[in-house]
Amino acid sequence: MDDMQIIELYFARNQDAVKETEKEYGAYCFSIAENILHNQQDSEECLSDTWLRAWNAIPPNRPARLKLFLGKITRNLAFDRYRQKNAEKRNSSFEAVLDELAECVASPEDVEKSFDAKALREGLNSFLKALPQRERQIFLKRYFYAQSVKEIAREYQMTANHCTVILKRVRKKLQNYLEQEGFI
Amino acid sequence: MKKEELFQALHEVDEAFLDENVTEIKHSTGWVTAVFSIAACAALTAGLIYFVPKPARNTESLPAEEIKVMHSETTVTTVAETVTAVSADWNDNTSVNEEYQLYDNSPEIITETTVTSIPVLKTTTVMENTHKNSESETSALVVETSGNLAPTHLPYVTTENETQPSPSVLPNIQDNEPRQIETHYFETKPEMTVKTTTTVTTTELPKETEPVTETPEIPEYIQNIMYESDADGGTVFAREEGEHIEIAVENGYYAESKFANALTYYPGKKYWVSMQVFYRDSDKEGASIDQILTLNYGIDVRYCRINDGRFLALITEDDLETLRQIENMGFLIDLAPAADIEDNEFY
Repeated sequence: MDDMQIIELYFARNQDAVKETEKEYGAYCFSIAENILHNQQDSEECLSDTWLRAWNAIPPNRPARLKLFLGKITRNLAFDRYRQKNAEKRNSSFEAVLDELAECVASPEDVEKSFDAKALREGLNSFLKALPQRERQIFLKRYFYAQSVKEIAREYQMTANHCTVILKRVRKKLQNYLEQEGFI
Repeated sequence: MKKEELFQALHEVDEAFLDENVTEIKHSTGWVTAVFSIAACAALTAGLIYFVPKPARNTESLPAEEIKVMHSETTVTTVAETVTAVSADWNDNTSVNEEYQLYDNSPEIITETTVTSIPVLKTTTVMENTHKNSESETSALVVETSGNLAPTHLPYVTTENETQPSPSVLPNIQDNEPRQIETHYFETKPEMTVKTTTTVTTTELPKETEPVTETPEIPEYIQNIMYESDADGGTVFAREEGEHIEIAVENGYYAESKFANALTYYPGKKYWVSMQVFYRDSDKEGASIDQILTLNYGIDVRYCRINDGRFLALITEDDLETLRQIENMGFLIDLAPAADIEDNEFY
């Protein structure tokens, strides 16, 4: 069943919509949750919450790309769950992703600046648009999908070292960009 | 801003960027630089289809509760194997076929140069294997792939009226050691036929190499660049003399696998590269010690920057071994064609 047909099931309030969604995108959303939570049960609960959110959001939303719409919901839910469950203990794999991002927001003045969330989102899109495609893809695989460096290196047929170097370069570019635009 | 806030802000990235990722994951194929033989590929796939007496893995198209218990005596055998397509053509190595722009110390562009590309032979082989479960019980067809090749595996199950494609991408193996790449389980009912399709793509360098003659001529302005170190030998920096700096790239090549996306090395040839080296363990602090390594290991450095340690070097195939040793000591090395330098990295 294609996306349009699935979305029509949502609009018709036919509960097969959830079943078809899970069949098409269950594995994709599960991998996003698992990359962040590293816990099967939590990831499965995240998935259930994703289907519920999708049911409540469609209609009136009619996503142009259902897979990405669901992926973003899952990512958000997984991150919220991660923060709730790991306030004291650290999930080293996902923490490494956050720690890397911390480099980008380290301010030379060591003062936290407030920022406009909308402007930041627009700024990030401009930054990503200016990147070469391969660097952009690798960056998003690491910091949107929270994939491991090893997995990413494997997909691009490069060594993990090389992938680390590319990520470091892009993080440095992002830090410079955020400083330049006044976000940090 | 906190790191968590940045992570959350990435939530709203343009979906077109995420779409690039989806497409890339689905359709990427493997590339190796070794010469590939069809016989080796046939042996690789044919010998690795067998039955494993354990519960089948839950794949996207097979809900776990529907998988039956397997019996160790039950087997799914290969009944046919066919090489269905082989194609080979010369393609340019696009990793070096780029125009680039050069800068002096001002941000304005001063010149452009096109790097000549080197053709490589790309060979694609597609094989189909048909397997049949001639037993009276449902079995699991286990498809495993191993070896030093990088197939794109597209197995699918066919029944009388239904086809369920299950594409997957397998990782490349850089070394020559055979090992299992990935395992797929497919439920095969009695008398069910399963067809697997394996596509392997390899690249091969031209057999004839150009004769080794001499070092590419060093442009005069690069000859004028001075480099020096401080008393401890820990810092090297360069000054330019003359009106501007121009980077020359001679005969770019396709990469050796250890330094992918860099340049290929013909014996005895020399060429300019842009290089950055830093400690693996301290890359978070941005440490850069390439200057020490270049001085100690004798790589011919002609220009250095102290900001992030990126420099130009004139290297040969022998220097690759040196660079591997440096990596084994705990450093990260990033090689690129000498044109790959951003304007703000200039000293």
